[in-house]
Parts: sequence; structure tokens; C-alpha cells
Amino acid sequence: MVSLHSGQKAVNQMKLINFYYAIFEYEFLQRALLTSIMVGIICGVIGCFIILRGMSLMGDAISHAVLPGVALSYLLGINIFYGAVITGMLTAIGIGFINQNSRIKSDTSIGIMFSFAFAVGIIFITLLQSSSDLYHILFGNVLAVPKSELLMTLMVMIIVLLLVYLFFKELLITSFDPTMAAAYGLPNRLIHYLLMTLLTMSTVASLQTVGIVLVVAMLITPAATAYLLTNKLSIMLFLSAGVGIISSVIGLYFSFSYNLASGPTIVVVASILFALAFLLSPKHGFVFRKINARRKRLAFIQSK
Amino acid sequence: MITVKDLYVSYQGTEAIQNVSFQVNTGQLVGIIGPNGAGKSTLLKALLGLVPIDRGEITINNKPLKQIRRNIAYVPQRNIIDWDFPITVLDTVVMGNFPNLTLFKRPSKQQKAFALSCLEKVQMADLRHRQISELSGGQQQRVFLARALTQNPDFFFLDEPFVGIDAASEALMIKLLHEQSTQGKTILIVHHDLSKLNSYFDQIILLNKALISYGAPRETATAKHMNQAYNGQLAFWSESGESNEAY
Repeated sequence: MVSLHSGQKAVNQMKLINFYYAIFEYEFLQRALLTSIMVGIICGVIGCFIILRGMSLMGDAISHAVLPGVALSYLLGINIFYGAVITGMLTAIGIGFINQNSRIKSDTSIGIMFSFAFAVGIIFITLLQSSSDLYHILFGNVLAVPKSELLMTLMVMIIVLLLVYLFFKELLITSFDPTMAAAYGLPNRLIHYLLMTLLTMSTVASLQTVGIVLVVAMLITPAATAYLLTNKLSIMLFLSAGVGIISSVIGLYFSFSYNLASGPTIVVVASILFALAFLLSPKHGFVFRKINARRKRLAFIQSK
Repeated sequence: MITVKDLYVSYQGTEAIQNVSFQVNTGQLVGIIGPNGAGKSTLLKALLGLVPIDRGEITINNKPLKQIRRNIAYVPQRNIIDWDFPITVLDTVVMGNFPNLTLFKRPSKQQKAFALSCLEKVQMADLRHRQISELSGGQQQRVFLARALTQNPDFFFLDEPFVGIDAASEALMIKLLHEQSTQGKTILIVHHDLSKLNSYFDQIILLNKALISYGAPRETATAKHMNQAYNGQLAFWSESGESNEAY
């Protein structure tokens, strides 16, 4: 039993060492690692604003709505970036339009629009008759990132970080107190669509790494983890990016070592990190909340 | 000076404000009073340009709203704020500087120091590093008043600032608002509680969709006007405007 256990341990150590040396050896793995890190940063940062604005479902919607654009781009032989941004934005605008011009509530209009876009996307891809492409688009294949995609992800990261840095004040106040923002004349709707554009771009950048189906997890899970750990938005942005990076790198290791799809492994790691924060966060964690509540109750009983 | 002429506003398909005209002079502290659904908050939102107006004209210091909106501090109703937002007391107050900053500019050291001095005025400086959900209702409202003071505007619009807060916070806030009005700031407060009208306000706008009456509290909050505004729902109304019973 003991020897079996230590044998298993040795195998695991071998895998880690293999991964370490493989990074230096294989260019495809270097590209995968760089892309994963950048996707962790991009999604971590945008995700903070998504969860603080109560738009997690919107994140899910836009990430799915990118599919027809990706398929069309394949059909037309153009960069998937353009098609994806167009259908992503059209869906965001469609959701807003249904919302403002009918009694349909926003979660319903989101549900209608994104399932429609996703359905159209699947039909397009079926027409392309390439099920392996579909599989990779849906679930990610970070080990096959071409150089062009790496550069695109880099561009998206630069754009996202630059815009968030430049418009931090506006993003902060429209997220926290949109009424005050509107009262002093900020164009709330424009800022909303700016964020939707960044969200679409983040989705496209994450396609190779985690795939369409699981992008939403990269957007909201690291951000939610950071949310439980700090009371300051600027720190939350860094923490969220950090959790995103750690999830991506550890997920990549498991994907490489055990021949698993990269999207699911990354998301499982992110979810485990969230669970740790949920249980153990000093201020907002489940365990300390219970202990504090118990301590207060005891103090109350003793004071009687 | 705030001038409202023949204002009509509909909100979600129903007329909320009908034919309202009034003029508020500089340095006045004005209460907007009326029953639930009288259009009090809608009037304030129309004055801020937050809801579209159907007809009429609003000018502030003889200028259209758009040119002056950064000179108005708005304190929203407490229940629309997400108190779990990751922000500290001081950072909330620093936000008061934002309307005075151009694009890409961050609050300067002096502006942050000014925010802290405003936080001292509302006696909340000790709690400046707390997250905002760790405060009582009265403390939260004082933080938002500090944010408005930080903006250093000529106009303050407050929407039901005293709902659900402790008496000490309310007294401190009204004292600070009186100070501001003596310094020439014009203040509009949507107000629910009908006690202390005389001691709180210079003028009262009594509203029930249409303007029932406007003027000094003693002349405005008369039994006749109050019954008209509240459709006889006020069981007891003493003309002094200093005491009242439930309605």
C-alpha cells in the first residue's frame, strides 16, 4: 500500500518535471503557456466588472453568441476575430433592444438571444462539416495555439488593460452608482457597450484556451474568488487576474500531462480556488462567518 | 436659481408630473413633500435629466440642465446602492470629485484630502477604511452626504435621505445642510416625514402630480392644502407643521 502510494507520487513528480522541461523544449507549449497566462489576465480583469454589474448571465450569453461569427469567419476565410466581434455585439444590442422595448425581463431576453445565436452557429459549423473544429471551438485546445492567435490574444490584452486603466474612474462609478454617473452626464449606455465590446474580445481571445462553453467560468469564477478576498476594486482586479493566471497554468499542466481538454481542466482548477476562498476567506468566508456568528451568540448568552 | 415652467413628465406610461411650475431662489433649502406616488422622486429625476420630460422647461441659473449638471450633487435613495460593492468609506467619498474631473484624470492628493475633511464633517473619518456594508443606515447616509460635500457643488438634490436612519444622523445631516444653504447653496430634499417641516425647510413644494402649493412651510402646509395633497388621508394635521400623526 505504502509502496503503491509512493510509486504514484513518483509518477506525479515525473509528470511535473516533464512538464517543466517540456516548456523549454517545445514551442507549442510555450505558446500555450503564454496564451493561458494572458487569457487569465484578460478574463480576470473584465470579469470583475461583469460580476459587479450583475451581468454574469450576459457574459455567458455573449460568449455563446460569438459562435456564428466564428463559423462565418471560417466560411469566408477571414480572421475569426472580426466575425466574432460582429455577432457578439449584434447579440448585445439585440438583448438591449428587446429589454427596452417590451415587457420581457432581461434574463429572458438574454436567454432568447444567446440560444438563437448559438443555434445558428452550430448550423453554420455543421455546414462546414468539420466536427473536430467544433469540438475545439467549444472546449478549447490550448496546445494547438498558432502564432497568429497568440499575437491576437496579446493585442486583446493590451487593449483591455489600456481601456480599463484609462476609463477606471468611469467604469468604477457606473458600476457602483449608475444614477449618480448619469446625473453628472456620463454616457452610461455607451460605457455599457464599450464593456460589451471588451467582453466579446475577451471571449474571442479565450476561444483557443478554454472554448466557448466555458469562457464564462474564466470570466466570473476568478473574479468571484477575488471578490471574496478584498474590499477594494483595484486590488480585486489584480487578485482576479492572479487567480486567472494560476488556474490557467495549473489547468494547462493537467491538460498536457494527462491528455485532457484544456478548457475543463482550467475551469476545474479555478472552481477549486473559488471553493477555497468561499470556505476560508478571512472576512467573507463560510468558516469564519460561522465562527464569528457563534462567538457573537456566545458573547450574547454570557452577557445575560 | 432653479426655474421650472409648465413641466409634464410621464413615467412608465402614466403621467407622473402635470403642469408644475415653480422657482427656487439661490440659497434656499426646499422640501418636496407629497403622498406616495405623487411624483416627488420623478420631479427630482427630471431636474437631473434622468427621466425624459414630455413638455415644459427646466433651467438652472438661467442655463439648460446639460451645462450645469456637474454642479449638482445627487444623493440617491439608499436602497438602490449595492452595499456589498468592494469599496471603502473613504473611496466612496473620493468619488465625489469625479464630476469635477475631466476624462483620464484621477483625483489628486488635495482632492483626496478634501474628501477626508468632508468625512470629518459627517463624523465618519474614524471609519474611513471600513467597507460600506459594515456601517449602520445612518452612517451610510452620512457617507453619501460627505460624497456630495466633496463635489463642492452649488446645488444639492437628495432623494429621501432620512428614511430608516437614526435621529442623531438625521440631526447632524440637517445641520450640515443648513450650513450649506447659509453659504448660498441651493438644496432640494424629497422628504417623507411630515414632522419638523418648519424647522427643516425654508420652502416647501407640496406635490400630488400637480403642484398643490409652494411657499414657506407655514403658508404651504395648511390643513386645506395637506388634505388636498393627501386626499384626506391625514388623520390629524396641526397647522403648526411641527407635529403630525400617521396618515
